[in-house]
Amino acid sequence: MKKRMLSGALLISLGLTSVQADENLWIYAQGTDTRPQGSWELKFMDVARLGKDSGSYEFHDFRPEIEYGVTDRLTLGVEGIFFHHDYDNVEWAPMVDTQGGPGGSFNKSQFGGVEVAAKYNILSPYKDPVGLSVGFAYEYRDAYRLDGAAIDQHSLVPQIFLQKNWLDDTLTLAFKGKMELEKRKSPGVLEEEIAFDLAMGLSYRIAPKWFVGIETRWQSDFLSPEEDGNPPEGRPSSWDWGEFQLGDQFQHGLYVGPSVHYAEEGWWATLGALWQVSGWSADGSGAARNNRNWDEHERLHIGVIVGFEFGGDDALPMTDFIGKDVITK
Amino acid sequence: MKRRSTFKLLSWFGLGGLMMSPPVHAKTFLTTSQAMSALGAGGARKVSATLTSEQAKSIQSATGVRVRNKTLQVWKTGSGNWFIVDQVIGKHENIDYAVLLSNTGQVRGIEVMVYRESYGHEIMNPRWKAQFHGKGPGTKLKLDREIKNITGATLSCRHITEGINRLTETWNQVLRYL
Repeated sequence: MKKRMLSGALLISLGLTSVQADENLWIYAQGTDTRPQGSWELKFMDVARLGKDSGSYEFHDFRPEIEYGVTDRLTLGVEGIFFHHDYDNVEWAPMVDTQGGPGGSFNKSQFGGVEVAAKYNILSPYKDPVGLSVGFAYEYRDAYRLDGAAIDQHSLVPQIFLQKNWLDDTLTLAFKGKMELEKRKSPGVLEEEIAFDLAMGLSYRIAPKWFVGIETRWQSDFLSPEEDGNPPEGRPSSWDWGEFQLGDQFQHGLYVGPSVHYAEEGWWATLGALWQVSGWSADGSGAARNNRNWDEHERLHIGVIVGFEFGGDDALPMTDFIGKDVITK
Repeated sequence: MKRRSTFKLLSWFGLGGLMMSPPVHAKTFLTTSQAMSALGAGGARKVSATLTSEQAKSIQSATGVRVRNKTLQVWKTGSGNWFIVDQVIGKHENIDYAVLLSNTGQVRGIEVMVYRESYGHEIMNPRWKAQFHGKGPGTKLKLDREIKNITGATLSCRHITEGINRLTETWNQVLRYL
């Protein structure tokens, strides 16, 4: 039971892709852009996480999202989280328990939670030496990302975005860093977790509308599970007000892969794939095999994102600009 | 790995996205002849002009702006003004615009001809475009200094500003001698 909670609970952060502002050139990495004031974007994202080193494993993290530009610098977003799990004969916890033991299977589609987020732009990559934005998200979940089991989780997610452009803004390097502060309840277990999800992408506009890129993502958990009132072994993680302790690292995984982005007026689409190239686990059960982590990470992630733009200046007649002080310093 | 199931899900996802796709339409605001008339350059004659590698390098050195196309689209009016059709990079596609330079190289007017982006149309605001009037090769324009930025359209503002720097310097080094 403890192992299941240790593994499964920590996994939640692996699946987090927080509410995003502006279009995505990659699947996980993201630049500093925010939405133009008064504009909307409807975004659909599906990240398929495929393959363990045992059995068969498929998980779809599907997220419809809507974003709104409150000002040119501030974007708010709300997204629903839907999970589809289809796996069998996986030997790693927590899937082995949820599938009903060795040789079992699990197949379920369900509502996974909801997230609200804000992103604020401070420096523009188009006129400042480097672009900078900050973000903050709150997320509620009632299902494990990894195995689909029921949980009750609240997360606070501060974020930072950096971006640097070259070659007339056709070459873009972007970094997105998230710190996920999570409190999670499941029967008999209370967990406190600090997780880091760092992604960096490089993209080049090879032709009008077309961008190709590469991205890398590193994710790691620092965990403090308390089971039936028993404190965790080792140094616990804590992020209560006035008390912050990172605790012992539990696992990490590193992914690398290509991406392609296409943008039309009014809509855009992104396709990317990332392979796990290295991983590690503090769990002594052998979850890190062949320099990969297999209980909390997968062999391959395939992501598809489609966005539709609405409103903003496109909806305003030109006469609205005349005589109106839209020029800002 | 359940490839069939994955393919099925992604297919539905892609199909749904395509069904929601808005119609594609680049916005052509002015044709070349319309821009010519709007800027008071009607009747100008087309002049064939191509920059040499040395000229392109020299213009880039003077302005800090890359010369992406050495072939110039230029017309000369009877009074010695120059009507120029140019392109700069937008966020996703190129922005087509026209500039009228006086016979001393100063900007007399700008018109955006084709704008294909979802946002940033504020660059067509006459008050924003008016900031360039009278600017010539002696002034290296910079966003947030000589030219005010429009938040939400920063990339377009900067690239148009850099484009004007490149064109006035092109007049200074090449067109004035034609």
